[in-house]
Amino acid sequence: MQRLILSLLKNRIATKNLEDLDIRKDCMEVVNKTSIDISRKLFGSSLHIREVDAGSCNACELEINALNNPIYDIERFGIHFVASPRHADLLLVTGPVSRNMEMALKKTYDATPKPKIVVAVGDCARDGGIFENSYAIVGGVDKVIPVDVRIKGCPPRPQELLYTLLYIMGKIRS
Amino acid sequence: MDERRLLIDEIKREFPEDVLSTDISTSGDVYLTIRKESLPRIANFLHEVKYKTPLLSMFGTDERELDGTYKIYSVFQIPRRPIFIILKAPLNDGKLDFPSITPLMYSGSLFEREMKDMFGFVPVGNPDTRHMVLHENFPEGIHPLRKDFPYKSALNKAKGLYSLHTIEGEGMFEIPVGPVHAGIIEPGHFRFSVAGEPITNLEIRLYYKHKGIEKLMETLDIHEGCRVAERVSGDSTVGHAVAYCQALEKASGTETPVLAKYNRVIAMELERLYNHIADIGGISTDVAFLFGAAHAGILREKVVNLNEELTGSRFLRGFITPGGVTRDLFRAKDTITSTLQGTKEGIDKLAEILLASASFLDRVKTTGILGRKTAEDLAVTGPPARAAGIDLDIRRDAPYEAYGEVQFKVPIYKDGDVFSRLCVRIDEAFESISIIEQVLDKKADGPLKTEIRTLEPYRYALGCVEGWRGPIMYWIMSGPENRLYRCKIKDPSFCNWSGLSYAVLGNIVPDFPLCNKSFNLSYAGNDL
Ligand code: SF4
Repeated sequence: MQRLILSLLKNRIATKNLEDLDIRKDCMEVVNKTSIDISRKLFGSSLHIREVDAGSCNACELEINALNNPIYDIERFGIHFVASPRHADLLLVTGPVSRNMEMALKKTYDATPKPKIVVAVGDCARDGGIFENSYAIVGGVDKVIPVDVRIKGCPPRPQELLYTLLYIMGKIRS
Repeated sequence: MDERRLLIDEIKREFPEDVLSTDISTSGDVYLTIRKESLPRIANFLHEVKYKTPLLSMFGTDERELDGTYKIYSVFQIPRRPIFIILKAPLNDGKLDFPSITPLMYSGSLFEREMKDMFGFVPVGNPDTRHMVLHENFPEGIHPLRKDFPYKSALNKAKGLYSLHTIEGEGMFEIPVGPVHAGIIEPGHFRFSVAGEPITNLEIRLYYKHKGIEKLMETLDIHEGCRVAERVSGDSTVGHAVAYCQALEKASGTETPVLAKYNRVIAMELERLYNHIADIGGISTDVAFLFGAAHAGILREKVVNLNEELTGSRFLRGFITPGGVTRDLFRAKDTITSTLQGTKEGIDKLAEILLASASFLDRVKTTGILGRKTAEDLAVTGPPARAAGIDLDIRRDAPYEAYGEVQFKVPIYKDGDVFSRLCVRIDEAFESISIIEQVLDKKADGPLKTEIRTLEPYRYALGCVEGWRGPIMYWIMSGPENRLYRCKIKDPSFCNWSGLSYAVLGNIVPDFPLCNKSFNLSYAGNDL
């Protein structure tokens, strides 16, 4: 299964040379191991995602959006973006959390049914990135809600986002 | 320079008491220092009486360190001429109030509210006294852009009140949407007042993403500012970076090498191209024409991948640098030409299919009309303005980098509906490809970059480029030790958002996403 998916990833994703695919080995970081185990058991074949922009520059959103285009075509892996947090298993959160989005992010988190996974996407979501310490931001996503996985990059490329999601589902294990 | 002198003389003749001093900067921008009491009259003279020119930007500065005053700058451009007029009104009697220009020029309202929050200026006569940038969680009395307010302030959490406009009457009801939306998009709050299906009022509340970027700029070295400018609005990475660098280069008197100019034009057009393609796809998605969306998705991805191949970043980050560029795209001439050839054919086919589909046209024609008069009053710019018959494009009117050396058409449509905005984008995408091809045919060598000499304190300059959403404007003032003292950023979205709230009136709620996509405005670039 895993080899099949990796080869799918390689062949369908539009880079010119296969070696160029180079998903950086350290592109993601698991913060909470237990939630990954739960996720693999429960969401291994179907994962519903709600995306929350908590203050990004929009480039992170664009890369997440790209996952839906026919090239990455994320739905073929059983991953689906949903319109409401009430239907979601996983929250993809981008941006340093701005003061003005703090409450909305909290409410979205509370509206997501348990068990839920939170993935912080991008350098901003990690620790505030270049906006760290600003009067107008709260900080990384984990300042507001518990984070399970972080993805690095400014922005992370779609193949890295996809790789991480498949890892969380247990479709890729290394 | 004569034209500029004549202009100054004319304004002086018209307002002999009010113009205190005049100055033409080395880069040719006209600065007029005026009494603050005359600001509405002189601004309106430029806007309404003399030139019919939109207010490009209006912003405050805290120059107390220099001469003890705050100042208000208002920027205009003479239509179709490379001349910028900047009115400079010092608030020098120690009071922070100034007469609002809003009663005469509606487009001033948002700028004034922004200054009210960020500096604590009081626009006397502006009917809207609500906060804008600082939401209810910010304590009262905070003015982040004042020099005595540190960037790293840890503020308490307050619980203020904010009231949206309500429309009352039998059968009226409200639909609140956001800040977290249903799609993968940025946050903002939309409050629809509807009677049945048609929208009677739309109030848009933004600034959920306010991150304090202008204040952050003031903590940076002039070279570091470029990296932040690239991250103001992700899809306008190049536009913002070039506008920033242009301001910096003008202020320091740096001439960028020819090769850098060509490279910048290519990057700006690649950015316009992939975004316009994405919008064509977005409009297809919002009328549920998924074939169009899928096709555009593939085309966009190819251009974005080309970006990555050329510069290492899908958004062309790190390519623009103060004084020049970091790589030479001419080396990949063949790759660029062959990819763009495919893109051109792809858009051609897609446009042919879209424009021949009756069900598609039925949804986009006469939907979301923004008329010319409204667009002018709101200072709307970019594709929504060109779709409403306003013939403005900075690339042609005030050519920067190498735009003076290429031929291109500025598409103008009259109807101001979704269809017109779509057509503007399709036409511009073709023009972008042609511009890139023309530039690649030029012979250029030499260095990619000039080192920016140190910048003397308190020099200022304006940078203005035509991003894919419209004119992006940066005004910077240097401080001591090569730092930025003030950096005003204006993304075209700032004024165009009001355009959207008028365009949807009378349309049904299900057409809102379509209208919204046809504007495709930036939240991040607006909220800063
Ligand atoms: S990580 Fe980079 S791309 Fe993502 S929101 Fe932050 S600045 Fe933008």
